[in-house]
Amino acid sequence: MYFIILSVFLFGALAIIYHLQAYQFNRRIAMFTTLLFIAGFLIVLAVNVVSAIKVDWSSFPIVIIS
Amino acid sequence: MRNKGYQHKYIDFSFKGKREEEEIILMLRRHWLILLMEFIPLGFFLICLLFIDIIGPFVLELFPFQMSQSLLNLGESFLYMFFWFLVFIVWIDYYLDVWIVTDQRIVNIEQKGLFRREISELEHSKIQDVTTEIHGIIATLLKFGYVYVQTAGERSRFVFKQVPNPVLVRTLIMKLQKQVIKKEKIMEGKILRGKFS
Repeated sequence: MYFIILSVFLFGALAIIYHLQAYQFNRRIAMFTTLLFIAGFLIVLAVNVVSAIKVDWSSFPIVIIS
Repeated sequence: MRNKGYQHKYIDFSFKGKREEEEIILMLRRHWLILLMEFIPLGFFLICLLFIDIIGPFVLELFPFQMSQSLLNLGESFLYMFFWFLVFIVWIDYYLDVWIVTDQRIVNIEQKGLFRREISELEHSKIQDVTTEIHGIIATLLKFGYVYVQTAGERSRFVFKQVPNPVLVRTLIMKLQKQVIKKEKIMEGKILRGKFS
């Protein structure tokens, strides 16, 4: 379940990066916004992964883990 | 036509479909107030997330929930990720909606959501009339509004929505249109003289 949700967010991130790069009008602005997005996303992703590691997944029913 | 002031400002800018000899005169987006209005609900969402961040641990202590602190943090991080995505989706929706006035035509690029994009263009020679509309107190004070370009083409009206300084935009488009028509008439004259001389 966790990996499914994470995959959705990763796919969304790729879609946003694609739009920021593919439809650029100015290279500098496109690069700046793309890097800003990636930086923020990586920070939140890091917090997310660390929190996921700390969760006691064994305490959940099997159906939720899958 | 020499538009050195504008040309200098947009010299690093380009768009898909730009012709080689084409000069970008103006790139317009909606007024910054429109973007701010779209960010306000996101601001409230962020405040709610911060509120959950502060209150969450106390709620966990007070009530016999089986949810651990780390699970709460996990849920919150997903919400922060969602917030970050929303910010950029709003930004993309604003930034990729653009009206580009070049020395040859007007190009309208409208991003509708993430996976839908509409592009239309209008040659200056096809412009019949340009009118502006500024509606409301805030729009009047901040000087933004609509510019309607009446055309002779298939699409009868081109609309610049909520752009800053619509009166100046109108003046510029009319000036460019007159210059294009004058150029075409000069070319026609040359062709005719060449034919009959």
